[in-house]
Amino acid sequence: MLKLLLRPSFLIKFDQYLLLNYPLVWSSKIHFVAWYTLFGWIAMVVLGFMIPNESLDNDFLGFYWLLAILCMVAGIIIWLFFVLRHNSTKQYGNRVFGREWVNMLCHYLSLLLITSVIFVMPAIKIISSHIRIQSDHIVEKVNVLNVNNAFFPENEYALQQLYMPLDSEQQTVVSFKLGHSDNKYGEDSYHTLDSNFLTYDQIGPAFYEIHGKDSIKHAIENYLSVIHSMGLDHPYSVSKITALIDDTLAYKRDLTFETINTSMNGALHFKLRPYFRAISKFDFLLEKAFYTIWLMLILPMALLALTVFRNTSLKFYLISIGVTIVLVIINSIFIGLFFSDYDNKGNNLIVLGGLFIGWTIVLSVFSSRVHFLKRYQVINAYSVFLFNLLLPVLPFVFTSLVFGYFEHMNYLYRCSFPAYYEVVDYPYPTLDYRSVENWYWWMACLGLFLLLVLQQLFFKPLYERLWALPK
Amino acid sequence: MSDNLQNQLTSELKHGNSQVALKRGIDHALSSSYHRESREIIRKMAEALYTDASNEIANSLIIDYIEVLKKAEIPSHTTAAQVVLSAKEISKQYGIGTFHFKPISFELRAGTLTGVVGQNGNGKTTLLSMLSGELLSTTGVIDYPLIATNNNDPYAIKQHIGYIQQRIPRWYGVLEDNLKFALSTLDFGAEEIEFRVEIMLKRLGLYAYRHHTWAQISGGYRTRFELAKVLLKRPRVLVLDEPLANLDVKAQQTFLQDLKYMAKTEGHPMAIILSSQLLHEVEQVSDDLFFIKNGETMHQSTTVLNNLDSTIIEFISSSEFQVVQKMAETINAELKSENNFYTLTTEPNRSSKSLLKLLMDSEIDIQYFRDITNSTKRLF
Repeated sequence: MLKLLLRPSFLIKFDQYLLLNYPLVWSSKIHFVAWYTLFGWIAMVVLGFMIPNESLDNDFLGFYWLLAILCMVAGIIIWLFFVLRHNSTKQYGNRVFGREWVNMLCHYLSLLLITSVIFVMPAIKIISSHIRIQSDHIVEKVNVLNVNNAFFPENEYALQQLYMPLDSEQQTVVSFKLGHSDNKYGEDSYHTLDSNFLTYDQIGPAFYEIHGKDSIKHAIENYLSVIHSMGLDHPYSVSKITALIDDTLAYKRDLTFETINTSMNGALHFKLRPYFRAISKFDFLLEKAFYTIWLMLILPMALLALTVFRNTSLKFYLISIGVTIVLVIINSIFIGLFFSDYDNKGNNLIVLGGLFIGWTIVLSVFSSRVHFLKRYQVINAYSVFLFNLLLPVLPFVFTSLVFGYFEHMNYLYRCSFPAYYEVVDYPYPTLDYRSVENWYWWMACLGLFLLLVLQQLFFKPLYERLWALPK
Repeated sequence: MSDNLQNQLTSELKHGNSQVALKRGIDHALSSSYHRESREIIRKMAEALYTDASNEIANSLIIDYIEVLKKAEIPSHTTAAQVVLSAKEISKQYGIGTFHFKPISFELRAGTLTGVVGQNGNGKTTLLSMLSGELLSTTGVIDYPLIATNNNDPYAIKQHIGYIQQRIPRWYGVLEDNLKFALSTLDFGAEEIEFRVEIMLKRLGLYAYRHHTWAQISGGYRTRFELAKVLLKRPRVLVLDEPLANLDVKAQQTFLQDLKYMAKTEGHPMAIILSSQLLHEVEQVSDDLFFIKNGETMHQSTTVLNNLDSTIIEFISSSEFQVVQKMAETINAELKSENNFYTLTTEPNRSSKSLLKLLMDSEIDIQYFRDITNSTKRLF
């Protein structure tokens, strides 16, 4: 039964079809990857529905991501093991260089499929939560609540306080209200509830934003009516406040309303909180930048698989994997024993990267020297060298890119509040600079694309140079 | 249709060698662009060879095949005796003070089988590795006149060199899939791949093992698999390093004979060079022989045949050493012995026949006797 499930007859037939008609696709094992990925997706969908939103705390998510990434790495290692079993370049001779595109595409898609599994559960959570909180009933209720219980600064000075740098504690509070807490409060994120509302999901009272002139005017009217109904006076009329907004804040942000933590609001908030939690934990899936980074990260991995892995032997592949694991353990012990500056991520990354590269060079020279001395399998020797050099460095590069991604997201977020940075003279630049940074991403994409094209050209001479035929 | 092939097949049939005729016909089909009409007959021929069918069936198939070939126009790109590989003063120095393979020049021609013999560690694998392009020579040049393309593209050249290593690298998956993959990378269509792989499996007796993995087959079949994989690529040069090591006595003979036929395949003759410790067996099938000692290579033709300064025989006898020694002294011959294995070196004017008679006359019990005067064995 298990065999029937893992190797169904249609897949075996398809396997034979690819073997006879598309050998490069066959050797990439993408069809098996697709089939087993399907199982992974199903398992993750089930997991997504089984795990309650309330469980999505940091501890659980830390455990989930660790386990998921380990499974993903294991999947990639196993996939490469099967790819290397039929190394067409080394063992099977004829290689049509123009068809490297097919190989590249298959490797790329295979890696994409394998890595996609870990994002299925978050996707399920995001989708299901959005379906729940975006029902008309809830949206209307939240909107009414927020409008009626909104807090608006009493005067221009109070309004300015939201953006003025006061002392460090007040500044933090302001930042907190703006949804920008520099991570000091842990959670900080926002979600689109509908086209006009943004909500801040924080520990304690919720904060909401209202965008759009009509909505703001409507909110102010409601706000003042509540104030008046309570027998209180407000120094400004609706038109005055609107003018104030237009004059002072038009080029800044829209407006911040703070909900009064009434029992009714609290109850609703409590009810919605799990969904907000799910969304806040996995909202990276809604960001375009995430997909850019994910798709781009797979490219060098696919290139690595194509140009290096396919020219090394299975034996040396397994040795290199073993070496990498040993390196990770040794480096972890080393850092644990001698470095206590855990908070300084930059330093730790440099130390970690330096250690990886240092160890790698020592081991690569050692292992390749063995092969050079034997003078056999010249290609193997170079491949082992490249492989040993690149594989341990890859986690470091990956880590750097992930950190880079979060920094980038943080930066984009700050850029959406230029007024704040204008007032506090924060070093983060304007929207123009943001567009410049986008250019960097495009240039990176272009660079990878060029690399992909050029490898078609430079790999052949490289192969010829490595091959020992006397000229 | 080549008249040569027709003559060869007819000749084999006349001599009752229907199995050999089948092999030659199949080898020809696999190594050339056979006529599509003959596909079914080739399939039947392979089946007949694989199942060891009766002579009548084999004969009738060969006759049918000849008839089909008569109608077909099959181009022949290579003819026997053309130089496929030319090595000029190639040598290898692994490092200062280490083993030195001394310079050698020679040519390998299409349709010939060249043996390389010598003791362990004397440079046989070094020579073969250089010829196959796996090892860069320190000095000298290797040309491939028949293979060289416009740009002398080494990668393209290497596609025409089949190399079977001494230690066969492990492969994965089932045997048949590996052969299909090897062929599919050469741009054959699906139908053609299946056909050629099936024929090759039957030709080399691997058909029953087509679904087996590396771990499930013996060393001998692994060697056959390597040969099948290499032959499917229709190489111009076939380099085999100790291919007989994993084969039993009968399989060795068959393997060597098969190689000889394959080398001379009509329409696609190959230059085959193989190393082995089995001197006698290799000598029997080789067109030329290299003897390597301490990195120095000697041709059989130039070194052995041109220096016949003695007659040398070897024999095994259970008679007492003194008896044998006494006989040697009577003809003033040099005797070397190791247990009951004797090597006798005499003047060149004594024939092996007279020496055998002398042994018999001396009532020396003979269990094995061989004249190695013209063999490189004498150089060991």
